[in-house]
Amino acid sequence: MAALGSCGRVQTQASARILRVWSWPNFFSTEAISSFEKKYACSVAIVNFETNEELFTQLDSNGGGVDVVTPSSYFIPVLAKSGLINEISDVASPHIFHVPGLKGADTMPSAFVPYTWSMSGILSLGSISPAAHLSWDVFNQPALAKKFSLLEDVREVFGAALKYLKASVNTVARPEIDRAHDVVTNWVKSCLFTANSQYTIGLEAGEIQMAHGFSADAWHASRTNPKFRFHVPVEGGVISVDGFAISSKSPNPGLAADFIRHMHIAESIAVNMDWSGLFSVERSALERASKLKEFVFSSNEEGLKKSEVLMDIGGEIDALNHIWQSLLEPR
Amino acid sequence: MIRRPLASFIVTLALAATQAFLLTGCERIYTSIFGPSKDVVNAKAAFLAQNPKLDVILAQLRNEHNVQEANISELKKIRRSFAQEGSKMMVEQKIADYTASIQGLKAQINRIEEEVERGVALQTFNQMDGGGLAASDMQTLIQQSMSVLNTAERQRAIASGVYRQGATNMKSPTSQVGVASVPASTQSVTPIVPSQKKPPNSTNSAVIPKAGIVDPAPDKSFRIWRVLNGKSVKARMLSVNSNNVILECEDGTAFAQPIHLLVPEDRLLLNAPVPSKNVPDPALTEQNKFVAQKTTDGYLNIRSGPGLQNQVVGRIRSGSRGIMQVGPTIHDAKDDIIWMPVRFGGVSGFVSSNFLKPE
Repeated sequence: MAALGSCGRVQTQASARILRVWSWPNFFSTEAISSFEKKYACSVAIVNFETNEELFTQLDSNGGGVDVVTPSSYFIPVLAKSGLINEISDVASPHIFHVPGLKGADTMPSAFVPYTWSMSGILSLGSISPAAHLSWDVFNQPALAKKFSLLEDVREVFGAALKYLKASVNTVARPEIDRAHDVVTNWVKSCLFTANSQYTIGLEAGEIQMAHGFSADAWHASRTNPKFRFHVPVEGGVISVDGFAISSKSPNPGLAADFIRHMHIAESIAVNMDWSGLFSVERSALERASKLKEFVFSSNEEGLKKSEVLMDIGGEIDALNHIWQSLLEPR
Repeated sequence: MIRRPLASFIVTLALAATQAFLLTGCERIYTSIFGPSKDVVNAKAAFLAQNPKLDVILAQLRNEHNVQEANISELKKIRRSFAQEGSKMMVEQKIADYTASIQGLKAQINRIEEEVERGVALQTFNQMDGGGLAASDMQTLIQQSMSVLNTAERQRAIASGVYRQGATNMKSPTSQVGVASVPASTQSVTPIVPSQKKPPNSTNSAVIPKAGIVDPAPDKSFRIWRVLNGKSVKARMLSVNSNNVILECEDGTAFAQPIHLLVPEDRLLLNAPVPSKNVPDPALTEQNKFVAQKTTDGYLNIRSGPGLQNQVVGRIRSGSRGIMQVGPTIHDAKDDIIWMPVRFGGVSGFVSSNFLKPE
């Protein structure tokens, strides 16, 4: 009898639902996750990935029981082509933000529900005068040699170089890529280091004066050191849109869809945006995010209009990767 | 409920005690040196599936642990570029903070894993022919049994066959080559088997030479075997199969050590592949990170073992960075490929080092 009781308990526990989510670090606030767990009587297990490629490998190996993933929009075609994610038919797409002049935000791939966007630009500790005229050209200045850092991401760095050259960040035109190659070569030679995180310590230590980095990192760093500033260069910044996709091997596709829907309700968006420093793609949410907007665009109110969203560039990414590796190797 | 004779109950008690001891004590010693066996991992996974809260907490702690490790790795890289001593100290301080945080996380992870081990032990006991007791009573019973049995008694219980009798009562498939007489689930929790029960000369336990291993000619003398994490154990080789070398310690306990985790010096005893001199041995250095080079189809395969015949368990896109080397390289003489054990995107396996470049 007791044994039967024991079995019964095990069965109840086994039926408890776990939603497994693979996301970028600092992507979801604890509050947003807790409210979902409470509402849907389930547990959410979050595991972080550092790059889209890591996510691909994890999904490709066996799916790892993953339900929801949060890739960048430009990586969706890669995942879809390999059959790693499913079409999402029962989740309404958000009313995505629209900024006159901003390219790319209105052409999101299917099998993807956009959620956040962040911008890469230039970080400093303290104001730069005149900040409104800060250009990507600053990385070419001899005075800044070995006094700045670059992101260690091929699309972000080439994107910045292409913006500097007034070309599209998604160009596949060989002459433009060749010119960007020259620009990036000089930048890599001139920078003190490349890093995708922790680069704010270079500014705090006084080893660098500027850092190529993300607005969300600047937002986080400003909580402990209010002197951190983010600048959108005059040519515009590079935008990554991240969002939701459901693994084709998801054990809980229904719950996965509920999760995506829940994260798009106004309360979740507000909590998450303030905590993560990542802008919501929701048009109305962007309008309400006055503090974050002021932090990111205070130096250049027109910066968003001149910015561009990274999109899939197909096989051209291999050529960029090849160039990028050859540049980083001597370091 | 059918009343059992007292003798039967005593046997059951002994079984429980032995099982609990093997599950909690010996396994911990074994895994601290060699890492958990596949069956142990499966048993724990099954338990966690039934206890989702524990599973979620563990996932969160492990994730936080990995994030902090990544931060440390990034800081170490940045530190090399810094010129001023003050800046380096600032980085050191941050690294120290993250390290302290990792220690705290590890302690929490260990505490929960101990709970999981206890849970697995309890569950295994449930499956044995000793039912009729409440789960809490079983836990108490196991603890009391362990406290009254000293080491010699445990050994006697094993040697007398009680352990094997219990094992055969368990509903589980037989284990893999080399320790074939022990059921898989028992093997999973009892990596240590008595010396009297060496792998028998059955067809299941026949030595299957692995590619690159030529007539292992087991050295029956006791010697020091080294393992990756720097620990060593005095043991003699009983046999070698396709995956493991079976070693026996002086106290009669025996265990299987995966061949690919043997240090070069030990591998020489088996005439097994040794790492190339051209590739750094991670046992001696910090973790190395690599970049995936371009391949014909744009993907680099991750295989379950060091050989083209092994299953593809994942793919890495060309150009991917942060591929972490997690063990010494192995030269596959047959195909002349140096295989590197790696972890990337949470997937572990072997990739051809021909397509990797250091970051």
